[in-house]
Amino acid sequence: MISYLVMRFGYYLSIFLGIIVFSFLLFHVIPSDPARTILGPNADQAQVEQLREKLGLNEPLYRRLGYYLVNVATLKFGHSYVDGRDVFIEIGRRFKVTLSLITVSMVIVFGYLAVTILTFRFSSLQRWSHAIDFLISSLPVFFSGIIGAIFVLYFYPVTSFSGNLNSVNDLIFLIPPALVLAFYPMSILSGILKEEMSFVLQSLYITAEKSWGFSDITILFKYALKNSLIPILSALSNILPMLLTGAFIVEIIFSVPGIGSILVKSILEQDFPMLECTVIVNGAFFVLVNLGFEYLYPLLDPRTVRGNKI
Amino acid sequence: MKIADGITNRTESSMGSTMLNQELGCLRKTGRLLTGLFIAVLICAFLPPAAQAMRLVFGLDTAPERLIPIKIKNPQTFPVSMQIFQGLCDLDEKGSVIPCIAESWDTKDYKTWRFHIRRGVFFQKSPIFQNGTREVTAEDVLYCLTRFCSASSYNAFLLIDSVIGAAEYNQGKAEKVKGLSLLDKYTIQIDLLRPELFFINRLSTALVSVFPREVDKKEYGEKVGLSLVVGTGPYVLQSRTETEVVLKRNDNYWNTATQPHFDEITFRVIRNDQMRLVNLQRGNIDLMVLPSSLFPSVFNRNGTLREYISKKFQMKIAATFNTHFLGINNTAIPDVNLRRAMFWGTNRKEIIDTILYGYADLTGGPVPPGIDGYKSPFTDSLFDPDKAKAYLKRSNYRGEPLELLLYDIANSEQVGQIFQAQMANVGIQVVLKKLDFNSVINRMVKGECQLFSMFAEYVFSSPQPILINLFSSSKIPVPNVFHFSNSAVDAMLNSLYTITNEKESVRECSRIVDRIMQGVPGVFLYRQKYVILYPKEMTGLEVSGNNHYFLEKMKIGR
Repeated sequence: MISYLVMRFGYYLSIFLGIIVFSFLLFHVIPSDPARTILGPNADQAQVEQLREKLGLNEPLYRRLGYYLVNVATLKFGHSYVDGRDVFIEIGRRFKVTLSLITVSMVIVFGYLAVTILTFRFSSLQRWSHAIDFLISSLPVFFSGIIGAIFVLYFYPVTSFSGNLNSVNDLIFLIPPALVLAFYPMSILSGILKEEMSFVLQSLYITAEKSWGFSDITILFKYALKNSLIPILSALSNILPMLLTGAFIVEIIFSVPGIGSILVKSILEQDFPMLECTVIVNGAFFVLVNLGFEYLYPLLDPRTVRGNKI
Repeated sequence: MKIADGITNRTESSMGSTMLNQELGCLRKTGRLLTGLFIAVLICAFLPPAAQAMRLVFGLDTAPERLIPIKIKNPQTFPVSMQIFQGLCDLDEKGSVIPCIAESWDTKDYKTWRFHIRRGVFFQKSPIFQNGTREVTAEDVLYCLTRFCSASSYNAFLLIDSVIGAAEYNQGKAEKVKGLSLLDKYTIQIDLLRPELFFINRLSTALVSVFPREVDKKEYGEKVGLSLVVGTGPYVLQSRTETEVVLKRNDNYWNTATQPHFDEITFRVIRNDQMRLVNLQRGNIDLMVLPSSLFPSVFNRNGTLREYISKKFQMKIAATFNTHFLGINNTAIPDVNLRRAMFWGTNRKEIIDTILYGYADLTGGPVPPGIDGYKSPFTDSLFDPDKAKAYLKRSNYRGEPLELLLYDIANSEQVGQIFQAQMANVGIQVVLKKLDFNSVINRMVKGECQLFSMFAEYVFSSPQPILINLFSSSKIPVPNVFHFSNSAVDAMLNSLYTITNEKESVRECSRIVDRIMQGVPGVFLYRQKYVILYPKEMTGLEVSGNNHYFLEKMKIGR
């Protein structure tokens, strides 16, 4: 078990290092001039050269990579090229907002999954469940986002977001964008769950439990669900990072200042320090989520470890 | 194992139905509790708020920059920054220079300028003054102008060509700017390299403002421009997040003639244009600049407001200093006849009517019409396909495609498409290439392009510095992005420093533009107008070409 966990940790660490190095090379190889971008089109060429020197943009690439790796290791991501803000603090603030959005989104997803499980108890609802899954999986985010935003403006009591999650209104505001963000995971996970549950509910032990008089709710939530979880968790390990990076459309439509919107802004403004930190944070999130699920699988089903023993 | 669990509970089978009822009951209770909680929260959200102060909410499409005066460069920040900061002088709605922190100025030879600082102008109350305030003096102005000339300023270009010693200071070769000196507590003298009749138009820009030197202390480094912003304007920064900037009335504002009416102004960032308009219709915001992407849904084809908008809203048309053009790299396209063919083959009116529903002024040259009394030498529509074809015949053009760089904002793509079609009618093949805005700037500055779509948000309020910066050979590659070089034009531009009569100087500018456009450094299209929508019950909105909204003059006529 320990060797399995160590192997997985090593694997994801190598992926993380690859993300850091590759993103650095990508941003510094594309033809652009951050000094010109910072100073604007009116600035003197001499002033631009001065700034390039100050930012170390004239140094050879390998040296810049070295400084960069040292800085990342000590969590020094520098200051934004655009407005001089501390990158780490700014990304942290934005990450908190996006994490809140994703958390609310996942609460909605789990609630929907609970309702999906209940459709096995009330079979007349199953057809509706299929139809809803089909509908929400067909809606592209940019379309459902616009519809959701218009709905918010006409019918929802809270229409603006202060940006710092200090009030209940901010959390209430997050519900519609979280719902829009949750549509795709809802449909995917619901489909997987229904497939797995249908298979599990045909097992002999389920029949035995029914004959012993256990309630359907107990059988569904306590026994069948546990055996259906592994594929759900696998899908979730892909969906969570996808929610983080894919949130930018929702954030832009609903004007939520999260990590997705700063990613887009940094790309357009060629704000490399902000962009690098955003990519690293996204990469770290991807790695940690996957690592977390890798540690969770053996707890739920020890057979996953036995199957991996050399 | 689950079967084992089931076997050990075999004896409980008789209680199965009771357990089921209990579980269902539990579920129902939980459901009722959650529903009740949700309804309670919604009711709280729907409750009418406590009595509120008089508030104006302005919808913005982009977040304002960090409010550090020497680093503000985006004109989209001016609506916010100009409520907080003020300069020595300002522009009124008609474009005339008016006194502000300087109550007057004088010059005998246009080379030495003296500015008399108004007494009784105080900085906004701030923790940097231990929650007090202090009076603005000439020493503060000297400090600010010096900072504007420094290497860390994004706007040093305004002064380094004019003020004695500014260039040396900017390059780190001098400890101070020699041309800036104090005469007394309320008088500052500025000595220029050459006489400049139009120097006052450099200072009237929104980019130059007065701020206290205390904000530059190291202890405020991370906060300044974000939570710590101190100026002399009618509004004070109260709070700032990524989506909202909230200003409150400055209770010790020095200008007793125009005290702010609103207790609070909120600038709310709503990036999506459609959402911003819906917010306006719902009353969540009071004011917005209508982007051209929404013109089809707001205007009838004749340019009048659609009925559903005109019922509740009125519009204010504000002429800007923003000129759109298609730049030509004169080094990459040295054939002047080809450039002339493009100039006369462009139907500017079609572009304005199609994209902007008529809300722009046609320009043939680089200077916006009317600026500081300027009269354009071009009086007709400037579209003559026959003339264009004649020039094309005289040129060396043999059908090779010309690449036009476009970007994703400011109607660039639409303008490019119409231009491409118009050039095809003349016989010139244009290929469109779309990049992000910063990449276009980079390529334009480096001269790695043939044609480029661009707009110039002029910060000068008179034609002389615009022409000197854009068309002097010494200004290649920036800001002379056309790589335009003509010794006769250089001589005419130099003569502007010798003219001491304002009207004669502006007339000379007209002659210079006429001379420049014979070489066609670019195809100048239109001067943009802002269409500002706001409710009918509001009055008194004034906007200058500087993007300065005189919000302190607005009233709600309820």
